[in-house]
Amino acid sequence: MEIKKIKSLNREKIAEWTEPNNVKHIKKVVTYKATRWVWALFRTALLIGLGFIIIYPLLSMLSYSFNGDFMGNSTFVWIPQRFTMENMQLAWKFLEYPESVKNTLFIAVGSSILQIISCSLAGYGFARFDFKGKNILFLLVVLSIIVPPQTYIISTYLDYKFFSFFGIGNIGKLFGGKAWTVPLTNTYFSFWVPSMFAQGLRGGLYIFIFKQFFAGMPKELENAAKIDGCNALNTFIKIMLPNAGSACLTVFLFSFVWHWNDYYVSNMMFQTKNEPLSVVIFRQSDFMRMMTGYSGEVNYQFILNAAVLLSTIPLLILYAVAQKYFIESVAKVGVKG
Amino acid sequence: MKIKKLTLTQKSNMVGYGFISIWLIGIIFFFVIPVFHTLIYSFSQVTVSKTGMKTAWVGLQNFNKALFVDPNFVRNLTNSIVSMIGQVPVLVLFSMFIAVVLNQKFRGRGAARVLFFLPVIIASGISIQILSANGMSTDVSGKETMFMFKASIFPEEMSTSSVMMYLQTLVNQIFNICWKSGIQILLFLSGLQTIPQSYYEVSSLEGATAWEEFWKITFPLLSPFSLLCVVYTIIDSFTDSANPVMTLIKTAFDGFDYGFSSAMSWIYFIVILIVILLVQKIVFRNVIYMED
Repeated sequence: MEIKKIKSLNREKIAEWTEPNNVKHIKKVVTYKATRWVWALFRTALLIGLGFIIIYPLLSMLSYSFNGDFMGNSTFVWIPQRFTMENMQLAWKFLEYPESVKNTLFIAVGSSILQIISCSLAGYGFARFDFKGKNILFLLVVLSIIVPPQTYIISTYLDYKFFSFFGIGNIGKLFGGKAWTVPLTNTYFSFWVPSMFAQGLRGGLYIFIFKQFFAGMPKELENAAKIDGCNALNTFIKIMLPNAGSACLTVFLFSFVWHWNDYYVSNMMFQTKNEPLSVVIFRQSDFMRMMTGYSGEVNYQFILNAAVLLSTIPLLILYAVAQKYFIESVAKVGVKG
Repeated sequence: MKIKKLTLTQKSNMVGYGFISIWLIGIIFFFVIPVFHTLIYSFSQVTVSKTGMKTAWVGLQNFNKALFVDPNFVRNLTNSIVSMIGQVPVLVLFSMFIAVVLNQKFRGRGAARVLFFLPVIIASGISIQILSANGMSTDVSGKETMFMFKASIFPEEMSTSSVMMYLQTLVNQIFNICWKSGIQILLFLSGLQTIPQSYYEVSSLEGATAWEEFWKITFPLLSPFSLLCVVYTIIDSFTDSANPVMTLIKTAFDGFDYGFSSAMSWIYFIVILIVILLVQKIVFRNVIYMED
């Protein structure tokens, strides 16, 4: 009896609530819809506003790069009144564009591929094996992420300038001479060698990403391979690595972008030869700033903008092609805190 | 002599050394030894010649010079710490907010994400200096940020008043924050994927509002990522090559004053480490880990 009563009461209430013409119901729906609508409006306004702040300097860079009004004309806003390619041509010449791009590509592509190989090996080692001293060694990985390279770059620089093949070159001293050293500075090897050994720009971070990724993969695959008589290295190459495509892509994109943009280390390593874009542009920008206002025929501010545009175009193309993977893979791989 | 036999798991774990061996060589020669060398340099007078370098022990002289003789180092150090303290909470909260917004479903989400991660691609090195000059300076044709305000409701004479100055610094701040928060937004966004959707379903059934859901579910479960973001932001702001202390270190380095430069690096590194440890102590206590 009691239960029946409650049930019928409930039914009544539910009927009352879901009755389309019920005032309470309408009020609820209206407030719900209104808050959602206001939020959507606010969100759109916010995103457009902040998006504008992000895109503004890029648009003005574009606008300056093709602007032919060298003396400055405050009436134009976005589209230059006198369109010119001269800024771009001069910037191209200042940057020695083809040469610099070639250098940058060699450094960035080479290092990122080497980092993928070495960091994935190390990441797999840390993710799957419980060897002695693992925690202490992993602490070293974390330390190498935290310690800014600037603090020890002096010593690294001298090591590269007089590179002795990890101390092997010191054998030369035994034969009554100097240590055998090879200068790595001004060559691509100053980036390739550390990348080969899972160091280089933010190598620790990539090990971390790979470790997280491999730790999240099911162990059954490896066990099956082991039973079939596959050794550890083969398991890694034939089973784990092909499945780690998204992690590899994430690391490649990050590594490529950071190498492309790196200025600090590159500036140390490349003083006379093989300079990448970032180094060339910085040196030329000093010169261009000095020239600003000096010559009436060209506006160096505009040329500087054209130079930056030239140096970012390859990255923007890469981003346009890979942005889908870039964002999704990072969101998927995740970095567990 | 009897060699203790290893169990099968122990044997397979030995393989782990094989996997990390390449890294181990790298970390020793490109990290541990250079860091150790820098320590030695900081206590020495370093002279570089064509044949190599020579170090002569000078004790604490370099540290003394950095802390008590050089007029810039201590001042720049405190400046960069103060500006870091002001910047980090704003940046982290901002990127958390944006990540939550970008995680919602709405039309044009993909485009918005592309836009907000654009700074990750460009915002480093020389480009950002020139771009930020584009975003803020008024020296080219006067059509920069100022024009946005001038054209709006403010009368002309107000443009030099303190209100305008404040608004301008605010705008500059927003610009900096937008351009520096790409990675942090990415981190938070990947963090948001780890929170099970069922939590939100349950809470909305129980009648929680979106506001409550954010503070009771999203915020606590994101706390490990917040810690990561705070640490990342601190390191990022300290190692920014525009940072005044970094400039000092670089200047000394360029002047072949390796000993002094190393000493400054070490003091700087220790300060960074202390700051990070302090932050971790404070934040870590409140970090909530999801139990798997």
